[in-house]
Amino acid sequence: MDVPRLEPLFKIKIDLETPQLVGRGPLGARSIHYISGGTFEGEKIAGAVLPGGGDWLLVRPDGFGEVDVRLTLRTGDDALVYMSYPGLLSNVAEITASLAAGKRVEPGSFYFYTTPRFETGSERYSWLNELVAIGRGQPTATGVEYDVFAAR
Amino acid sequence: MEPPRLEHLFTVSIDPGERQYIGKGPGGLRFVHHIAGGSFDGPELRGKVLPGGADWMRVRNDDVCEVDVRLTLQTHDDKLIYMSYAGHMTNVAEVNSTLTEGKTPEPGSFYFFTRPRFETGAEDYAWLSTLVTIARGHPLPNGVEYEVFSVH
Repeated sequence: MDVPRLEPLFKIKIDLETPQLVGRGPLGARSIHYISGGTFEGEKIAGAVLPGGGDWLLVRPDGFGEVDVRLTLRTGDDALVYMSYPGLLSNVAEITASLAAGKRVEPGSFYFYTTPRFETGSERYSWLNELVAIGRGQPTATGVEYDVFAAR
Repeated sequence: MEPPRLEHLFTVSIDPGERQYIGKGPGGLRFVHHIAGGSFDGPELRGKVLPGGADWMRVRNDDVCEVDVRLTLQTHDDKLIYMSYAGHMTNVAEVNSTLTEGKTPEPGSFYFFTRPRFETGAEDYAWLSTLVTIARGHPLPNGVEYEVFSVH
């Protein structure tokens, strides 16, 4: 079967603040992870992740985290791009414990994917508005890193 | 940057029912396109699309159609799966004019992707909620078809 092509868009590093633990509500455990900053770099676009925005994470009873992120990118030439994505992160409790113990979380020991969309008023980057993207995530000691690809 | 792997989950064919034109709002033309039925088929699941559900679609002023679908799948072994997806298709005017002539638009002549989510109480299909998926849409003279892929 002819599968869609995934074109590299950029690598992004996001720094997160200490999460606010809202607690275990009827849907699961909610935590809010605000973004303190970051950077992104790709062939056609690069720049900074602005402070603000965050991940309104919900950890389900089955241990999977439902990722729900909104953030703002500022390109090197000063265009603003709004980026938002849902996603899934498996075995959140285990990953949180490993990171707290100062250990690295090995790729392949978890499932972490997102599906970003973008919005910008910049004519130069308007091509982003049309895209659906896929992000492969890696939790780190200071936050998260993603490899982001455009679906074609 | 090595892209994630896309695995074909299933292909779903939707038979459209009545289309109601709600009118021209500030964001574009709103339609409610009801679902009369359909079928889906893939390596690990297959069955019918039940009547009911709809696409609460909006055709924007920039020639992009936003789709917003909720529907119910019934597997061959009688389990119900709730499927919902948001997405968009570009180049609406040209696609519609081709469809009106009874022809199928060329795959390269539009960009049509959605981001499906699944919910089920059936234990045999609970794995659907542990996957991030992306779907590629194909507008047809008599309906619409999507190839749904899981990301790995």
